[in-house]
Amino acid sequence: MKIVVPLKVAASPDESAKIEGNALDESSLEWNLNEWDTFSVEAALQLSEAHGGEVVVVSLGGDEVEDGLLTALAMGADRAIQINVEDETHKLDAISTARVLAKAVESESADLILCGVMSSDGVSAGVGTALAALLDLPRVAVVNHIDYSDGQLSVRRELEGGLLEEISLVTPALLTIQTGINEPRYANLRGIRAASSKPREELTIERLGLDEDALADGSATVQALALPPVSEGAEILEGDAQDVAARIAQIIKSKVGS
Amino acid sequence: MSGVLVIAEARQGALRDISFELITAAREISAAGSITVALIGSDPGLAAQLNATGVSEVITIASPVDHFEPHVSAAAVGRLVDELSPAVVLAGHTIDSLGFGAAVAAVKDAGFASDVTSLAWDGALTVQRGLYGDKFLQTLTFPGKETVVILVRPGTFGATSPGNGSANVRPGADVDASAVRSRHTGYREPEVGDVDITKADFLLAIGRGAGAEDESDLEPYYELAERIGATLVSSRPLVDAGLVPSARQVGQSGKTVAPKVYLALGVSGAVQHLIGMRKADTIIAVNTDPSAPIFGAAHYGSHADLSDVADALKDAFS
Ligand SMILES: Cc1cc2nc3c(=O)[nH]c(=O)nc-3n(C[C@H](O)[C@H](O)[C@H](O)COP(=O)(O)OP(=O)(O)OC[C@H]3O[C@@H](n4cnc5c(N)ncnc54)[C@H](O)[C@@H]3O)c2cc1C
Repeated sequence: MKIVVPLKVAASPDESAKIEGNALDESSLEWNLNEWDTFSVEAALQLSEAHGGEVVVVSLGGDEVEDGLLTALAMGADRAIQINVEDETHKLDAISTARVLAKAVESESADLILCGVMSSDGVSAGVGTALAALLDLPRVAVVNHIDYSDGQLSVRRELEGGLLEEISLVTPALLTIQTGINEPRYANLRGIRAASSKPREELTIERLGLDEDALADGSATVQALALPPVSEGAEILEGDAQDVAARIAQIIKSKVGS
Repeated sequence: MSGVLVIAEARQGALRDISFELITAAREISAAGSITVALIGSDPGLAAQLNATGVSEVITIASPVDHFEPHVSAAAVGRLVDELSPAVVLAGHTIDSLGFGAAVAAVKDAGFASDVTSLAWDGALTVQRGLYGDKFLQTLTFPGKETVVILVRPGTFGATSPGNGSANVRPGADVDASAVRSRHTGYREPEVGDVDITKADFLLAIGRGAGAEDESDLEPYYELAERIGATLVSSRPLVDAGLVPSARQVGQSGKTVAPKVYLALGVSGAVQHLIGMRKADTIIAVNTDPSAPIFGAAHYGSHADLSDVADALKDAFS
């Protein structure tokens, strides 16, 4: 089976993060493979190990993308597609990202597309579901268990309160994968060495026949980025750990009683 | 383009709270036009509850299946968008809506924003949402979009009381069986654990910040919990890693708790965690990152290292 895994390299701002215009100052960002996507890559690898096939990873973004794709290749993915956003000021939203991914992967005719439920930076949780709709694939969002045999999928959808729903559907299909579905492997040294010689294709949005400027306008326009309003918030306990523990002990004793 | 279309959410025969929170959100942008509530399903009892203050019309849409099915929902909402041309479609930022909200937006080329925490209407829609784990707040507008699909964060708006409305309740066109593309085969209840954390007065919550890599790393925290008379619970990553049983997970996909005291060590305060514990009487958070959103929910906080505080606390209770 062919499995396509779209993945994102997500930003986390460090303590010095400053707002510049409507975005964060790039120098304060640390980039890592999105937490959810480590689980979708692992799920794809396990399925291809059990049933044979190919795992293709695809990502869209700036320079940061390459390391994320290499990480997935080092984990065991077979091939990577890197789509470069040429204008650094363009931050594509979930729907525009899905439009680009749809163009990039439609010719792959994948049996299964596995996305992460969401990304830790943008938290839209929209790309997978939009991508499925654009490719006219059946989908299940927030999956924490997959059984596959002969084109049949039995999956569990994780609902609020930990209730699980069992669902069956046929491939080709798209699932969005929830954390905890498996234990993502770490790339070992051999994997890391092998990664650099695996096939990698580089594309641009223009080469996919799409208009990057139009996509950058997207489904919403960012008017501002700001710090959240300071709520009343917590009373900060001062002093060293002993002082803090003494105050906490006092609060506990007064509130819980004995 | 005018009006607000609210997509109600039902599960296992009952409406979920978010449905009534969405009606409140719709009332806050009533300048956008009249409020229509859509129920996918045709239970007259549920439709009557959705006939709440401020609602002009409740449309029930007969579904070919008894359970939520994302493609049926997408088809139903897509058709209502064509029929009513609403300026705004409101659904919950819930597991169900994650299965169809972005699909409708993509197909209809609508505006889209999810996990939205505030909405305003001033001739056009403006919304806000958190980014980077709620450390920053983004303001969005939707120029040129005839319809905007918004997924609203649960628990953000108070619920409008069910019923008491004067809406016109009518059936909409059915969704055809050909829309169905997945089959519900059953529910599985969450595992019952050795403790019922919802009954405890005092919870000690451990987050990823505790740096636990295997179960033995958690022993000191179980010991601490015992010493101070608390029940140990955790955020999701420790459960995902198999270190803490899922019955002890607090949050959206775990348990909702309201103890007298909730002492959180190394928990950042993601919305999916906060939703499960923000009703605690007293919340104490220890986190080395002063900008962690948990401090917005906590009553007392400390920026000290959690292992130092844990050690000192053990001594304080000896
Ligand atoms: C559909 C869905 C459902 C979810 N359901 C749940 C749920 O039910 N419950 C849940 O918890 N999450 C849930 N999540 C996950 C949630 O989004 C967060 O990823 C998770 O809550 C983060 O857990 P954390 O705070 O322990 O970890 P992190 O966010 O990694 O935070 C760790 C914190 O520890 C602090 N820290 C690090 N070292 C120290 C130290 N030495 N001393 C003090 N502080 C330190 C850091 O500053 C940081 O703030 C869900 C997500 C999705 C998409």
